[in-house]
Amino acid sequence: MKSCCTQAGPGIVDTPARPFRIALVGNPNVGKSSLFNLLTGMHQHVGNWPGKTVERRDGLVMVDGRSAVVTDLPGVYSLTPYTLEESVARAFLLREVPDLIIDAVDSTHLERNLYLTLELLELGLPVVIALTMSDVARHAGVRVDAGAMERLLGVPVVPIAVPTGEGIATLLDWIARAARGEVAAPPPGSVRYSPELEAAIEEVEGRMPAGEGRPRRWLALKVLEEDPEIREGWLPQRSGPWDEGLPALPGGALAVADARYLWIQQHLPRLLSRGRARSAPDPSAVADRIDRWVTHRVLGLPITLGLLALSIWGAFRVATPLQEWIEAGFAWLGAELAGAAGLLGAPAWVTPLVTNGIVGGLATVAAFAPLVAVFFLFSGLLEDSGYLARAAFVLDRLLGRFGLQGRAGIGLLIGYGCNVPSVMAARTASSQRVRLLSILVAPLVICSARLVVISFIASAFFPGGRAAWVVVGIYGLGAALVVLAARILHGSVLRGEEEPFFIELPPYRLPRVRNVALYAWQQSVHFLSRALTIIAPMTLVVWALSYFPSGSVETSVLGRLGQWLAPAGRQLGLDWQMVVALFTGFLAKEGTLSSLSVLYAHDGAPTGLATALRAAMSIPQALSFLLFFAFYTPCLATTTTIYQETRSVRWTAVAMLYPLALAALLAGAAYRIASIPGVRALLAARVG
Amino acid sequence: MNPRMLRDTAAPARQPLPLADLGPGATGTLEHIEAGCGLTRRLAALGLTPGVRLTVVAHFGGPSIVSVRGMRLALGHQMARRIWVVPDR
Repeated sequence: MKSCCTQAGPGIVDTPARPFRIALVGNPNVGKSSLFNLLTGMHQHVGNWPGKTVERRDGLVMVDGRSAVVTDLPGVYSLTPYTLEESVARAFLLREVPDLIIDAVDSTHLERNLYLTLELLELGLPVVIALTMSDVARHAGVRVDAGAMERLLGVPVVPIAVPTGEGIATLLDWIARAARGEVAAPPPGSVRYSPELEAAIEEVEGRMPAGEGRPRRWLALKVLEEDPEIREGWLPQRSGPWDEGLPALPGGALAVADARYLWIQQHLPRLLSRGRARSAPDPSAVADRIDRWVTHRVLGLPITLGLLALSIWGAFRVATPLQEWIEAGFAWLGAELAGAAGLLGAPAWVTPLVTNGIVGGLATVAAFAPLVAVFFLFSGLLEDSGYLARAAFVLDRLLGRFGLQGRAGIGLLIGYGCNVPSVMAARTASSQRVRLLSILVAPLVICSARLVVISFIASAFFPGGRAAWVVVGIYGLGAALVVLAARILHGSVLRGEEEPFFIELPPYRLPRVRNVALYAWQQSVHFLSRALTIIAPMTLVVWALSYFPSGSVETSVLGRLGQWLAPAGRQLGLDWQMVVALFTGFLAKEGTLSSLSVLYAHDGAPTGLATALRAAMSIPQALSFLLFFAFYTPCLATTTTIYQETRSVRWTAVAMLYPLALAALLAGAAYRIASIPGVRALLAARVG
Repeated sequence: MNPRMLRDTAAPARQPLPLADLGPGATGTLEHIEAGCGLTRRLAALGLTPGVRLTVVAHFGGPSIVSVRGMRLALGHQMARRIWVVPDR
C-alpha cells in the first residue's frame, strides 16, 4: 500500500520518478469507463484495491511524450461514502492525492452530476471537467454552455463524445498542461452557499485543529454533514474536544445537500439552452414504454429469467466448442511431451506427471477461460445496454424476502453457468452482510459442469424421458435450497436489518463493442492469473496424491483415503471408488466422470461407462451419488474465488463445509428412502 | 385501497403519503424520509431532498420507479414506504 503521508501533494510533483497521476471520477453510468477506455486503450491493468475486493483499473495515457497514470475510480454519487466502492474512491482521493482530477459529468443529467462536482471542487486539487454524452445531449436538443460553466466553476470544461472522439484531443491537451503545472486548483470557497450555511462552515473552520493537510472548508462541510469517518477518523483526537458545543446545523446532512442542490438549481439555467430535439421520439418516452414491459408486475420476471437464460445458453453455445479445442490442444501437448519424455528415457512417473499433473492442471484453467470470458461478455452487454439495473429491480421483489438483493439474484442466475463469476458478482451488494450471504449460497446453484455429470448418470440409470425429470427435480431442489439457505443464514449468523433497495435506472443505449470486449477481456485475464497460481498447483498436488507411492490409484494416498472413508460413504450407499471420484470432482466437477471411468471401466471395456456404472451401482446408490454430487463442496475454482472475495479462511471453510453436510444429509435420506423395499421395487419397475 | 388515500380525497388539507401508495403518473413534493443517517445522506446526495418534485413513472403495488431531478430511480417496496410525499391535486 502506498504511503498515506500528506507531503505527497501536488506541490512536489516533479520528481521524475513519480508519474503524473490522474483520478477519473464521476457518477455511475456517465460514460466514465468509455472515456477511460478511449484514453488508455489497451494499456490497462485490472486488479483489486489493496486489501479490498473492489475492482481497480489503472491505465497509461501518453502526453508530451511522457506517460501519466489514470486511475478509474468506482462510480460515486457523493464523497460521503455509502457503499464499499465509494469508500474506496474517497480514500484514494484523500490518501493518495492525485495530481489531477478528471470529473466526468453527464451533460444529460447535469443537475444531479454537478452535486459531485461541487464536492470535488472543494478538495483543493486541480480539476478538469469532461462533459460526457455531449452527442446524446445535442440529439435530445440540450446544449450545455461549456464557456459559461468554465466561468461559473473556475475550471476547464471539455465537451466529450466518445463515439466520435470529439473533445479527446482537447482533454489530452489539458492533461498535458496540468502535468506542466499550468492548471491550478480552484480556490477554496469559489462556490458559496446560503449565508446560514456559510456562517456554520466558518464557525467549524475556526474551531477545527490546524494542519490536517486537507482543505479546511471541505473538512468543515463533512463535519456539518455529520460524516462519522471524517469526524472521528480524519480529525485527530489529539486536538481534544474541539467540537464540543459546536452549533448544530439544523438538518445536518440534509441541510448541506439541500444547499448544494439549491446552488445548482439557481445556476443551471445559465448553463443550459434548450433547442429543438433532432430525433423525433423523445428517448425518455421510449424508455418509459420499454420499462413498462420489462419491469411489469407479471411479465417482468419471466422476461428477466428468459433473457438471462438466453445469455447463459448463448454463452455455452459459444464457449463449448472453444473449450473442446482447448482441451484437444492440451491433450495433444500432453501426448507430445509424454512422447518426448519416453524418448529421453525419463522414469515411469514422469509421463503421468506431465500429462495429468502439469498439463492437466493448465488445461483445467484454460478450459475455464472461454466460459468465463463469454459470461463476462454477455453480462457486459446486459450492463452496457442499461438492462441489468431493470433486471435487478425485478428480481429484488422476489428475493427481498429472503434477505437477498436483486443484484445478488443476477449473480445467482449467472451461477447456473458457472459459480465463479457468480461469486464475483456478489461484489455489487450494498453491504458486506448481503455480499457474504450471496457468496455463501452461490455454490448451491447447480453449475453447467455439474449438469454434464448429473445428466450422464441420470440417463444411465433412468432411461427415456425419466432422466430429464430427475435432472429437473435436482434443479428444483437446488433452487429451493438456495432460498432456504439464504433464509436460514439471513435469520441467524448473517442477521441484519433488511436492506432497503434502490437503484438508479440508467438510460437505455446501444452497447459499445469496445467497452464490452475490453471488460470481458480484462475480467478473464484477471480470473486466469488468479486461477493459474492456485488451480494448477493444486491439480498437481491431487495428481501426486492419486499416483504415489505405488503408481496406481487404488493403492495411492488418495485411494487409501477413499477406502478409509468408505465406511462413512457406506452410510450414504457410496463405495470407495465413488468417494475417490467425488474427491477428484473437487478439482473440477466434470472431472468426476473421467475418474469414474478410470475407476470402474479401467479394463477399457467397449460397453462404456454407463454400462459399467449400471453394473457397479444400484438405483438407490445412483440417486444418493447424484444428490451428493449436486450439492457437495464447490469446486476448487469456486472455492478459490470465495477465498479471494472474502479474504477469510473461516468463511471459505463455511462455504466448503455446509454444502458438504447438506449433501450428505440429502444423499443419506435419498439412499434410505430408495432402499425401502416397496420404493425400490417401484423404482426398479419404472426403470425396467 | 389505502385508508389514507380515502381520507386525502375527502379532506382539503393535503396529507403526505408513502411513495408506495402513489399510483403511476402521480406527481408530488417530497416531505420527509424515514431512514437512518447514512441512508438519508445517500438519498440526499442522489437528489431526494425535502421539497424536491417527483413523478411516479411506474408502480408495482409497492416497488416503484420515480423520476426526480431528471433521473430515474427504482425503489424497492421497503424503500418506497419510507419516502413520504405530498401529492399534487
